[in-house]
Amino acid sequence: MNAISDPLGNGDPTRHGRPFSRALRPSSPAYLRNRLALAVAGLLCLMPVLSACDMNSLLGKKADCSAYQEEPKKGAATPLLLVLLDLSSNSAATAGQVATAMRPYIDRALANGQYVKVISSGGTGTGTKTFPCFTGDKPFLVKRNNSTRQDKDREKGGEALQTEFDHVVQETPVSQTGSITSLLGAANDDIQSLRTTPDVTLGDVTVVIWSDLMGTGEQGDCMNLDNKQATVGVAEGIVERCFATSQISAVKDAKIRFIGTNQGDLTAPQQDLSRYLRGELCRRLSDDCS
Amino acid sequence: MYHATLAIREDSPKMRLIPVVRLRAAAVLAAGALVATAAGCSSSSDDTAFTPAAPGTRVKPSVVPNELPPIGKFIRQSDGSQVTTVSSDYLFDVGSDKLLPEAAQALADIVPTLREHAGKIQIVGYTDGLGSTDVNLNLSQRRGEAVKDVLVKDGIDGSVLQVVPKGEEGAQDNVPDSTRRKVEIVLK
Repeated sequence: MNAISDPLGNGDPTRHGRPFSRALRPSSPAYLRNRLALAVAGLLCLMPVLSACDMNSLLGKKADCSAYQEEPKKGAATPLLLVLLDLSSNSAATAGQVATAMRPYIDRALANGQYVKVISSGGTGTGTKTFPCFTGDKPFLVKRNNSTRQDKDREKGGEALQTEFDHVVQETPVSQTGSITSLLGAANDDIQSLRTTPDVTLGDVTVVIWSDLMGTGEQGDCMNLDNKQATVGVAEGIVERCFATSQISAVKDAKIRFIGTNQGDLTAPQQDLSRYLRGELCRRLSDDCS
Repeated sequence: MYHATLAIREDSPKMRLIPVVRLRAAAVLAAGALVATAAGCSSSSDDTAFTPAAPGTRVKPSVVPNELPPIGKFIRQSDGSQVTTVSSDYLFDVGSDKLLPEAAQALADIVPTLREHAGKIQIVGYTDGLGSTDVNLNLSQRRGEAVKDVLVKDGIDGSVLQVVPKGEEGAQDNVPDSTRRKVEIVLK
């Protein structure tokens, strides 16, 4: 018999009392096929473990949002988080940015208990979109007796809902024109509609708005910025017109938080005008706005 | 014993069984893993699939740049002092006293003029009439201090700089007015 080398340096190839057959020689196709099959099987087995068994993102599946919600307590006021997404892109990159920016709000909701309603719009002709996970009539809350379990479940919930926000963005059709106007203009109605939902008692209201504020393409739209100059005075005039024509109204008794301004690929004048507009909108929308 | 094992023929059923059994075991493991993966490791998972919309992007509006410098030239007043005005909206975010990076650069542009001035330099802060009088007075004070800090960092002697908070003085109550939100730098 020919001497058989030990490519892995594991010592005597016959240490298990069996020598390699021709088919099992390290250099033989059968041996390599055998090892490769075992490696693939092992990798497949590890995949769910390595990903903490949350394969929803990989498989493009919806999260089970009810796992992180509880039934509304009758008569007990629970805060509302209303999320308005004015999307100028539904790319995976934008989805990731939105989902990341929303994570602190998600974590707070899971820890303190909060209704969460999400409304998205991709501009002219696309309408607004709502989502089964974020209907705002069942509060999110993860509360466990065991603090370690609670922390783990909140983390798991945070990741699942962050992924859900990613999907929300990618599911929203986006057109070439549009603006934040319709979403902002309907904010009071959206909140009022939740206030009148049976078994829902709203506490503090926070409105989080994702928008680059770069409206375009609609002549009658007060937030249409086509050919506008990037000055404080112009921004003030634009927002004054929005309120004077009631296209946008103050959102009563609500905290407003703008996120997403100056995200994406904007020129310096666009960035300046976006910042000035955010300031002007803030001054008129709510006493607590940033 | 080894010799006895070695003597087994390579095509004997026992030897051929080993790789076959291993391959079958691997196949079973792989199938199990795929089933677990497909189930998302969760029996409570909603089976509704996520369907992305067609890729879409909004066209950005063409915004015209502001050609005027954010801080204009110093203008001589009737009392002999010189003044330049800058919008607070350019220097600060709404309600904030943190100077924006581009604002620090714009302030640096007037440093040579300030260095040449022999007398006192006032930093006068104003707000509009939105919000409470006290809050606005305090905000104009903090914003003035922020401007002073950056000028000191740029090499202006802090002892000649004087912050004068005016708050909503002269502004109409509860009216947002960008012309009232400003910082004046006065060379006395």
